[in-house]
Amino acid sequence: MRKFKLSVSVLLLLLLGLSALAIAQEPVTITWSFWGDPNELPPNYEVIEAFEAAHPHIKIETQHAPWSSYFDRIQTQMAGGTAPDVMFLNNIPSYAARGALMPLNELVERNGFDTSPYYDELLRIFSYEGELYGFPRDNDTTILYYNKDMFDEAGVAYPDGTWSWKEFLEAAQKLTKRDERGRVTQYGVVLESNKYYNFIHQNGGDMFDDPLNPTKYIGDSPETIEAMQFMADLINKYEVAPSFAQMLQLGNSTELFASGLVAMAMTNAARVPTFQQADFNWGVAPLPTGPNGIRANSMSGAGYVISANTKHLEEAWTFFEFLCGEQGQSIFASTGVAVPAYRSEGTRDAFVNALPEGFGEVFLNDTEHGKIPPLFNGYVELNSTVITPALDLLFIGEATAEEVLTGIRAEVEEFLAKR
Amino acid sequence: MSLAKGKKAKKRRSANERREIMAAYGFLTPNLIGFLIFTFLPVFAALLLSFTEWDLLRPIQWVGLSNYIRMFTNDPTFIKVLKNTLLFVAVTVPARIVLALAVALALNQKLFGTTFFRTAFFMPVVSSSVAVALVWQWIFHADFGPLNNILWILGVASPPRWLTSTQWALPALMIVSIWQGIGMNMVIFLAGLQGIPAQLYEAAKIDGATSWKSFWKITLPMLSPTTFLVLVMTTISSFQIFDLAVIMTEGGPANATNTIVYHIYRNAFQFFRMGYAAAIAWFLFIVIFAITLFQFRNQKNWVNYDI
Repeated sequence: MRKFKLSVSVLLLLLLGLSALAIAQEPVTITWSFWGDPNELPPNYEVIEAFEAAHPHIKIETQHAPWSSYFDRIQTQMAGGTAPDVMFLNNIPSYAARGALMPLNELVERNGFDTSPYYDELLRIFSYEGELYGFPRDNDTTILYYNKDMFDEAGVAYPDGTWSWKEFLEAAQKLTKRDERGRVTQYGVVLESNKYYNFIHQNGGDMFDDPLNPTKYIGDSPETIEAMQFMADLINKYEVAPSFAQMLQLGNSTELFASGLVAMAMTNAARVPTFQQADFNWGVAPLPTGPNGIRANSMSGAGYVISANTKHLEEAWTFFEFLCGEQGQSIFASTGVAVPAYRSEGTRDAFVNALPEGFGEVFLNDTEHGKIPPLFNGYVELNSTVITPALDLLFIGEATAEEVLTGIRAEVEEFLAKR
Repeated sequence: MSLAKGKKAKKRRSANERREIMAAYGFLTPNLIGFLIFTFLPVFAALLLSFTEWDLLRPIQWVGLSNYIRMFTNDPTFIKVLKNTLLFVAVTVPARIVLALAVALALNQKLFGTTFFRTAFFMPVVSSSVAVALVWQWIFHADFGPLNNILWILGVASPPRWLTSTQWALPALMIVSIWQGIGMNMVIFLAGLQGIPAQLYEAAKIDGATSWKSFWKITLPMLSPTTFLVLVMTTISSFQIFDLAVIMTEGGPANATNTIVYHIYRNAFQFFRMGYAAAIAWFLFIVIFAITLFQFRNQKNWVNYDI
């Protein structure tokens, strides 16, 4: 018996020794997670190939999941302490507040990582309480796509970048067609429900005094009310845009524009490849300005973070630095499907060259007017339990902007106070 | 009856019987283990969790009953989804039972084409909820959907906006759910109807009973055990309405079609309130359990097990 025990322990020791040896020789593996449709994936593998060639001692293992299941999966992994070392993520403050992400201030400083190419505003939404937690990959710049054939047919001049809401509305009205029963058969424009901040900002309004650390609700200010009412009027009063509830049935903005059912669409750069397959002529223009000439666009986007639980911080940082630096960002920029968050000559050229002539500049110029929407810990809950239901009533025309935006004041304030 | 018999038999079981019992348990074990690990334990864990606050990452905090108190004092959305769900159950359960019974009675006749119609009514049960929801979304389209087109032809000047109206979205979901639920109940009723001995009807006929009278005096009482089963199952499944709301309306507009189970899902996976979500889940469990218990207690008043 004793002999048996002895041999077992010897065997165990041997095994331990062997595996230690194996670890010493084997490269460190860093796990990296991201979401995306199959056609969005190639640049990710291109980054890995370039990185592994330069860093043979680090292997990158990918964890890919579609958007619909990605976040449930990451949550579960975080809870189990097995989150990927490097993650593609959004809603950074809510994860940072719960200690799931590695703070980066010290790492950035120690390694002399240059953060200046990034849009300052965009970096703010990757920060929480003064600490940086990640870097954005791209910006969700919204642009006005327009169907040239429909404009020609209706005799409307193409948007030339000087449009304000007034010219925009007039064009949309001329481009809307109805049948004998008064039903709209061609809409002037299609909006996206989560882009209402563009209208609010173009009118000089806002929902909170500070988008990241709100103390006061200002969603019932005249500017905000006017902006939201304008957006709702496009749907219900002028009937030049389909309602969002209807779009659940009709199709999203991409589908409606690509299938030639709407003359204009306000959406981001990711649509370009889809629209390029459409059998009509189309162009892009900056968003119209508000009545007082204010230019504003969206500033938000997903980006990369390091897990707080990584066991290989040094290697994870090495990869992270590559991913978020000139080289990694240029690879993503060269796909042309998203405005790069990293503003270097290299990324800009890569982005512009990937798009039809004249398009890239429109995206890049309007990005300069980007403003961040609210994004704080708890915003997702406040938004889906209070704000969205109220805006639903506005967008289906059962209430006015003034009614819903003053109506939620008490609830929003209570939520902010408890935060 | 059968229980008492079993007790007596226990004393003198043959080796053969014992072997059979062992085999029975052998066959049951995998399922029991599955039930224990994948149903019982999570349900029990959820009970513990419902007294805590847990966002998956920070340590679990014991908060006593505050999650249960929050439901009724500090969560207007919960009150709304509770009302929606109760209204949904109150309308769809009777409709699903009465209509299924009517269809089953019609298809129990020996007429041409019954097989086809049985299949047709059962189709929704075996169709994927997602596909069904997408088709109905189109049917309900306010401007171009076939439903409103028919209404318009019939002279309704401004038909309901269905899914884009806070007033009509929930009724629209009820319609789909009723249509979806008839098939299963119909099949159970058909089985029940075929179990009623034909001589009862013959005897009634000889005594001069009308078919209306035989329906009330023979069919309904004889069918009552089946009706009871259908009632219990339909009630439970109606309380759990989730998929249609998610796909067709995302709970909107303005929470008009938000339901308890959808609220549980959102609290757990979107707002990181695991404890609160568990508390709502347990609340729902208690409600369903109480109603089912009431149904079982009450069955002696109307369910007839004597043949």
